[in-house]
Amino acid sequence: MTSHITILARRSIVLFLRDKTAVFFSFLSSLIIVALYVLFIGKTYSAGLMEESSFFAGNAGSYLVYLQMIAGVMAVNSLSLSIGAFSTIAKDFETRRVDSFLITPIKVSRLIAAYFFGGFIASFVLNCVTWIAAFALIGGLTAYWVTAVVFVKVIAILVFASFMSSSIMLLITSLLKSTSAISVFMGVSGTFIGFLCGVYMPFSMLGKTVEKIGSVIPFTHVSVWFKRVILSGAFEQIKMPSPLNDMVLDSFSASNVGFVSLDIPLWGMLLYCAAFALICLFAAWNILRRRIGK
Amino acid sequence: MSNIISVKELTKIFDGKTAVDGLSFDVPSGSLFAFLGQNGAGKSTTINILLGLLKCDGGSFDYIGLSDGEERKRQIGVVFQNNVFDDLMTVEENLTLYGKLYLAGSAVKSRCREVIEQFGLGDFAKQRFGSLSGGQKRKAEIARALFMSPKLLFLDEPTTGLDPRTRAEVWSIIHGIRRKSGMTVFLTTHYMEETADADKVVIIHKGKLVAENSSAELKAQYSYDRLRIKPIDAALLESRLTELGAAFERTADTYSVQMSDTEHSIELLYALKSNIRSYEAVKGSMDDVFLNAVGEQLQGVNI
Ligand SMILES: Nc1ncnc2c1ncn2[C@@H]1O[C@H](COP(=O)(O)OP(=O)(O)OP(=O)(O)O)[C@@H](O)[C@H]1O
Ligand SMILES: [Mg+2]
Repeated sequence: MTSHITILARRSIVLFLRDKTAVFFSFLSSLIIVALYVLFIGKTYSAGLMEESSFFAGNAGSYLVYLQMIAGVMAVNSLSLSIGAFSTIAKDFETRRVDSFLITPIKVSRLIAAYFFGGFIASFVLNCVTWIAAFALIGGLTAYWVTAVVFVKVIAILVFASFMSSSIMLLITSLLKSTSAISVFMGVSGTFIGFLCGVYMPFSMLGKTVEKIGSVIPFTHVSVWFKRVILSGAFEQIKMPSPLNDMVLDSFSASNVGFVSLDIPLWGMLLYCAAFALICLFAAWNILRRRIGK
Repeated sequence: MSNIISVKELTKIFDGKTAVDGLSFDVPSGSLFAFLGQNGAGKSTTINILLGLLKCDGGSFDYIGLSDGEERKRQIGVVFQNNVFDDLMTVEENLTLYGKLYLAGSAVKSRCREVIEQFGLGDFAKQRFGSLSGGQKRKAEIARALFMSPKLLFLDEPTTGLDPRTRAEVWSIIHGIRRKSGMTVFLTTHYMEETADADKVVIIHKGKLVAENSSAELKAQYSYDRLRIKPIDAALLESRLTELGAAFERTADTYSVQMSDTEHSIELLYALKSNIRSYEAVKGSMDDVFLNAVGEQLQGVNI
C-alpha cells in the first residue's frame, strides 16, 4: 500500500505547518537574509553595480540585486524547511510514538520513506510559495516581471534542491538525538551555510579560502544554479549589454566555483550534488532502520 | 483453558541492569490477565518485548492461536503507558490516521464514527489532542487500541488519570467487548480494585515472578479479613485482646484484628461488646495481596 506513505507523509507536513514556531524558525535564516539586504547589503550591491556602469541606475540594477538575493534565499530555505519538517522524526523518537506505528501493519521502510517525503514536500511547497511571493514583490517593486520560462525553470530546480536538502538533512536528523539539538542546528546551519555558500556576500569579497570551503558544500552549487538561470533570463529582459555579463555573475557569486581548486563546470558539480545527496539518503536510511530497530 | 501467550525464561538487560529476570508465565485465552508489580518492576519492558518493540536477551515467547507476521498486528491492540496521539491534531484526525494504517478510507470513516459514539468522545472529537484533559486523552487512546476490535488487548496503566465514573464507564465498555468477542485483556495497573475480577494475576518484583494465580486464590493466600474496632476504653480493649490471644495492630484510635472466619469474628465481637464504640468488618482485598506479596520480597523472605 503506497497510501501508507502518503498518510504518514501528510501527517509530518500537517504537524510541521501547525507548529507555528517551527515554521517561523525554518524561515528565520531567510528572513535574516532579506532584512540584511533591505538594510544594507542591497545598497552595497547596487552601488557596486552602478560604479561599473551607469546602465544599472534605476530599476534594472535593483531587479538584478533582488533576483540574486531570492536565489540565495531559496537555497537556504530548502535546507531549513526540510529539517524543520524532520523535527517530527526526533519528536517521534523522544516520545516513543514510533512504537505506536510499529504495532500497526506499516513496514519500517515505508515509515522512513514517509518521513523523507514529508520533508521533501514541505520544503518544495513552501519554497514554491516563497518563489511566488518573490515574483509578486519584485515585480511590484521594480516593474520587471520574471518571465514564464524562468519561473518554470526555477520550479524545476526547486525539485532538485528540495530532494538534495531533504536527503542531507535526513542524515543529520538521523544522527541528532533530540528535538532541541535539531532546533539549534536549524538556527545555526541556515546562517552558516548562507555565509559559506556566498548568499550573504559574494565570494569575491569573502576570499579564496571561503570559496574553496564553500565549493565542497552542495548548497553552493545549487545557489549558483538558481542565480545562473534567474539572472540569464533577466539579462535579456533588461537588455543588458553582454560585455557586462561576467562582471555581474562574478559580483553575485554566480560564476562557477568548481571543486576546491579544480575547475569543474556547473553540470559536473550538480552531478556531485546529486551523488552527495544519494549517499546521504542511503546512510540516513540505514541509520534510521537501525534506530527503529527492525 | 488454552493459552494465548506463553512466556518462558524471558530476560532483558539494560546496560548491565536486569529489568526482566527469567520470567515465565502463560496468559489464558479470553481471560482478564492482570500483570502487577511496583514502579520499575519490569511490566512495560515485558509488554514491549511481547510487542516486538524490544529484543529480549534471553528466553522466548509464543502467541498461540493468533496469525503470524503482519496479520497478527491487526489482532493486537495496545494502550501504551504514555499517550501517542499527536497534540497538534484533533482526536478525530488522530483516530482516522491510525485507522487508515489498517483499513481503506471509507471503512475508516464509519468505524471512526462508531468508536467516537461508543466511547462518548463526541464532545471533544474536533478538539486538538494537546488541549484535552488528562482523562479525555486516555479515553481517546483506549478508543484507538480498540479501533480494530482486537483479539488481544494490551493495557499498560490505561486508566491513570480517569475519574472513578469514567473509569467504570471505560471498564464497562471493555467488559462488554470481552463478553461479545472473547477478547483477552493483558492489563497492568496500580489500581488494585481493577484486578479483583481478573481470571489470572501475575505479580512480579524486580523482573522476577513472585506470585501467580487467580485473584480468588491469591486473596486466600495473601489477604485476610479484619475487624476494625474503635473502643470506648483503649487500655481495656488491649488487655482483653491479649487475654483472648488475638493479634492486633493499632492505627490512631482504631484496632485492627485479623479474623479467620465469620464465627470467630462474631464470638470476638460478643466478648468485647460493652467496650465497642464502633466497628467494621473489612474483607481482604487485592491491595493486601499486592502489599504482602511484594512486601515479602522487600523483607527478603522467600515464599
Ligand atoms: N530504555 C531503557 N534503558 C535503560 N533502562 C530502562 C529502559 N527502559 C526501562 N528501563 C529500566 O528497566 C526497569 C523496568 O522498567 P519498566 O518501564 O518496565 O517498569 P514498569 O514496571 O513498567 O514500571 P511503572 O509501573 O513505573 O510503569 C526500570 O528499572 C527502568 O529504569
Ligand atoms: Mg510501566
